Amino acid sequence: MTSMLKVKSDFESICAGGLRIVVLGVACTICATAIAQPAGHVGWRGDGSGQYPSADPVTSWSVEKNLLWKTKVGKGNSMPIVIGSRVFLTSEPDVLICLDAETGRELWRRVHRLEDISPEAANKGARRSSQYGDATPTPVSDGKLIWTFLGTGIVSCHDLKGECRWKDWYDVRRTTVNGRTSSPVLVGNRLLVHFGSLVCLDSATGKHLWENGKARASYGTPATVRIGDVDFVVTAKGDVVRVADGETLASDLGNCMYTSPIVQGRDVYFLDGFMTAVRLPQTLAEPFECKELWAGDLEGEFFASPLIKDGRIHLVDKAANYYVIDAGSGKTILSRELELGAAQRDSEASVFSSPCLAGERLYISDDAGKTIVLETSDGGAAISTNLLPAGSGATPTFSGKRMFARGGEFLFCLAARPKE
Amino acid sequence: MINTNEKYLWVPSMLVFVALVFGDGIAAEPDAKQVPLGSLDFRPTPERPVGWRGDWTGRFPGATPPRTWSRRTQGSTTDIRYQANKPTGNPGAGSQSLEYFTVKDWLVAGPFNADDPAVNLSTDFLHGEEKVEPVRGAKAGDTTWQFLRAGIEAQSRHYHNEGTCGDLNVDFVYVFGDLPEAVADEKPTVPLNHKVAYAHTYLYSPAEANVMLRLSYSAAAVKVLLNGTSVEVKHNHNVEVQLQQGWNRLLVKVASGQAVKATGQNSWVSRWRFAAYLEPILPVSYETKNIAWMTKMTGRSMSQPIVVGDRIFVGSNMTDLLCLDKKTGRILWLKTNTPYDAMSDAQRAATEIREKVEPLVASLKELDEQVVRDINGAVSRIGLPSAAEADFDKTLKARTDAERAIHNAFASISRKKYPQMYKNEVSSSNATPLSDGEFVYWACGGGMKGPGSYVITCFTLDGKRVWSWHDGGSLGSPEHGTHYSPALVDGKLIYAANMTLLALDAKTGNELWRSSPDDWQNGGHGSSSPQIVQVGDKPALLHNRYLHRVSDGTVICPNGLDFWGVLTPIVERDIIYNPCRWQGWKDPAGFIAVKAPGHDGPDAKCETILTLDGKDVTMPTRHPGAVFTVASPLYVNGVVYSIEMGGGLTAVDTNAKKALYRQYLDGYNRYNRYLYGVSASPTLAGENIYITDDAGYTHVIEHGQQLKELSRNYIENIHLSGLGGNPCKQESFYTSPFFEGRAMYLRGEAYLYCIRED
Repeated sequence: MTSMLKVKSDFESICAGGLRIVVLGVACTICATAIAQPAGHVGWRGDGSGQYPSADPVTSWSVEKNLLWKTKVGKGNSMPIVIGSRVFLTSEPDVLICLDAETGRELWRRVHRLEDISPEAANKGARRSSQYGDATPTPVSDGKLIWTFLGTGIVSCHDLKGECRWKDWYDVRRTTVNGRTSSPVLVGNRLLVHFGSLVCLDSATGKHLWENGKARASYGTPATVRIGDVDFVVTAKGDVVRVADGETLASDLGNCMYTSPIVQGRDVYFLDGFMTAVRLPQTLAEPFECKELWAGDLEGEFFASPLIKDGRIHLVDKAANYYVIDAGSGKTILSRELELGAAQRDSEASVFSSPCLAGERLYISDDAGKTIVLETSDGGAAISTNLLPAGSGATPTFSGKRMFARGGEFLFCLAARPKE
Repeated sequence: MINTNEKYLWVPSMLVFVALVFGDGIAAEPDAKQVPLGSLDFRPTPERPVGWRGDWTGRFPGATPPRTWSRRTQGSTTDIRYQANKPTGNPGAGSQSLEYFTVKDWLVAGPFNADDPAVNLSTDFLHGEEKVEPVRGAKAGDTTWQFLRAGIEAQSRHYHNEGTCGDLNVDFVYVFGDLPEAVADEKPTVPLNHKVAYAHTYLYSPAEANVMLRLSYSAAAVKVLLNGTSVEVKHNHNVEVQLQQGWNRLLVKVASGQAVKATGQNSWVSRWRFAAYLEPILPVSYETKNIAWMTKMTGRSMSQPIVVGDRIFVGSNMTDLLCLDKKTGRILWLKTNTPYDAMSDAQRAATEIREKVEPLVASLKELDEQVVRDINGAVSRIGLPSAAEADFDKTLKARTDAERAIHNAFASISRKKYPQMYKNEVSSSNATPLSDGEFVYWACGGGMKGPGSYVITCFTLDGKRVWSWHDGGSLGSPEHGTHYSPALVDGKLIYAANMTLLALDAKTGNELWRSSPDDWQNGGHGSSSPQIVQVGDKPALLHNRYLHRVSDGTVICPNGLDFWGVLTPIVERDIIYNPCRWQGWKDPAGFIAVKAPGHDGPDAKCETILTLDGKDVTMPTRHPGAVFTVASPLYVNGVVYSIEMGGGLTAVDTNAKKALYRQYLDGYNRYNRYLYGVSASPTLAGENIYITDDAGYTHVIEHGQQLKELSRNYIENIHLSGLGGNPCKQESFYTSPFFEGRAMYLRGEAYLYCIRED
């Protein structure tokens, strides 16, 4: 079934004055491109896709095998991100940490105390803190600077040496019961932060540019999309919001409570218990029409965001049921229970971290330290299962031959040791 | 024909006339305003409707229900008794009968060093495990046997956020761990890895009997000896064992590997623990005391029953509203409330409705009739034996599937307009019905994590549908579904759905207004029902963090209540009491009392008249965080009673401005902070307070300065289709009872129970 979704025909407001006709003409002739994160940016799930095509990490490890280093960094559910030879991550309650990717040595750490900002921040920010932690959003970087968002409402910008460019606390409502988890997204010189309302900050100064109160946050991170030469974000609750001015162009396209939407071409996929695939318009000609490609239901509770590769969507629910969905039709190609999480005897573990594709292999982890490596072909055959002494809700990241995974209070760098 | 105003004018005139003519010899109609709720003479009116918690207070001062009742399994475990210390004869006062099949009393000994648990489990640290007959305080190797009751305060885990005990554990980490009192993140200081410990109990069976032994455990290795003979056990699996006539010895030997381990959000949890259950071999029957009738429900629900005259109304399964005869427990009528039920004839005539939905509706109707027939044929004082119940549940499941197909068919027509109504946490029939004496109003539906839709309906007491309203998928759903119940004020039926407070004309069902202050605590958990609070001389609506005008729903002012948990606060005219005030997640929830403003003008403000710090008024915790509360508080003569999910009862004297007591009830609460424990709100019947936990264990206590327990009552029911997660499929109970006269009406997930003296 297809249907025309909510149309917001306010294209005129994008174009100011005499530029309007010119821009309209250009927009109508340029095909849409949709990408997970703008090029060169690294943040939530790397470039947002969860795919590391040039990575070639180890497929088996333990504390005795292929553990290059481990460093105590504290707990947190945010992902580590790799920029050059450095690894960055946030930890509870309010710390941004920089490690040497080669050795795991801590290079610097910066705290983000509410009381250092203002009495109002100390008072109100503490109440917006979550019992599940505030270091869940993943920082984002353009390769030169790194932006950090914490659940208390603090946002900061540091350079890679740890010098603070700006830091502030934002008095924006929180809309999610269990804290703020959505990661910040960088689009050009604009930082999109889903506090509850969607807020756009000047990435250079932290200046508040606009706020869209109707684009409510869930727990997922917005995806970025470019149509013509205009940037948009698509929120987990299905709002399409223009980065330039915060205007909502379409809404209610899909619904993700814990997961994040994913994009391929100009198709956006919202996969939770409710699944929706939506095609965005090819151009910015009026009206802004989005077409529902398919919709369906899945049993289970999904915290891990899906991953799309070659027309197939990979997702796994909290109880470690693994699904492969055909992106064209929404039909389930494969479903099976993985030997992860609560599927194992005497385990209360859950799958919160999102699947990652490193090279051609899929890595899926539970929060008890177990990771299963799967083939993406051949029926998702398991290559290996690997155990670390502790786990995390954080998604791992990959760089070259290395995998960086959180486990308890540690960050583990998993790679073959150099030959002596 | 007389108009409404005239109708109400002539009634008192006639009453005066009757009183003058007949004098004292004839009792006049009781004044509806004076008759206390719970009295047999009470009749609801539009000004004094019945609904959630009776009249929204949880107080039934006119009722005189029993203090004691029971339902006990009649099977091979019925007469078993257990005790920790060595018996000297037949079971005496020191022995216990099995409640909910659980063995709670043990003698424990240890820890013994065991570098390799798998190997050392075979090491006999007692020098005669097969024959050991422990005595409290006696030597066990180089340690001593000590008494342990596997209760709420003997767990190492339950204080921890997300600490999912799920069982009454013999927790050796608690026993030997030297646990820190204040900081839960700290691990136990005594090295506990690679140790062995023993637990022993004596079981008395009056005759040789086969029973099911089940151990739920988390440990490196476990060994069980019954009367000295090894029993192979597997985690959470029943194994049939034979008890000999007289006393039996049960020894459980548990080896730790890594005794505490980080799991999920927990810094550490015990991995050196077990819980033991003795369950009867099915099928079983039951024996009851003071249960007048039990009526099988059509499905799971958190809906509370209400009584209107001779009838009981209660929500059930997906969208069922049931009407029962109060005397017999028989179902008088059952009405589903799907989007189809809410449609006009013109809407039903649409081709896709006729083709996709109507055939399914016809199938469901047939099943409705069959199910009502079957249920009414099975109403009794003891309920169904387990074998019959299993077959019964198959019929109910077929009916549920038939209704699910209707909702799925609607979703196939439009997922936006008709999101499946059944996808609600617990059930989509969680709302308590409401009646003004002439009509009964009900809301059902919901959804989860975003999409959701609702049907609100008005019926006559005879089951004639007066009007129905469907939201068309416009309201959505909170993260954990919707659990609100409606309210009635000034002719408006008030309902809260997701972020929206909604008013319908009670006569017509026409939508009058919506109000949606957007806030993370406003609908996030979807559980705080709208209440009526007095603002000056007008009623206003309290919902989550705001007060609203009744006339148009606009916000009068925020209330500053700042909830933690999913409770609804209690209102006494213009004062609102919230015993679970959010103080930040690192602090225990506090207590706050707020006075509503004297007017609803632009400068109206709520006034905080009492705040008490959480560390003084809520259950002390090892974890630096707030305990979680689902049950709503009860206000009795200045004292506010509140019970958290873990079974901790607090009584706060609002006049003395202090906690009178904070104490755990020793019930069958499973003290999983978020899933099981105590969900039902405390209720006053006559002068006593009734508190039911999630397994149907009800404490009756006195209102007063100290916790004084009058009785404990339990209802065993092996509910094979149960979803509550209790051991041995014990039926779950989530809702408060309704009291009237000598009767108490208590709803479990499987039955509605009428508890009345035999």
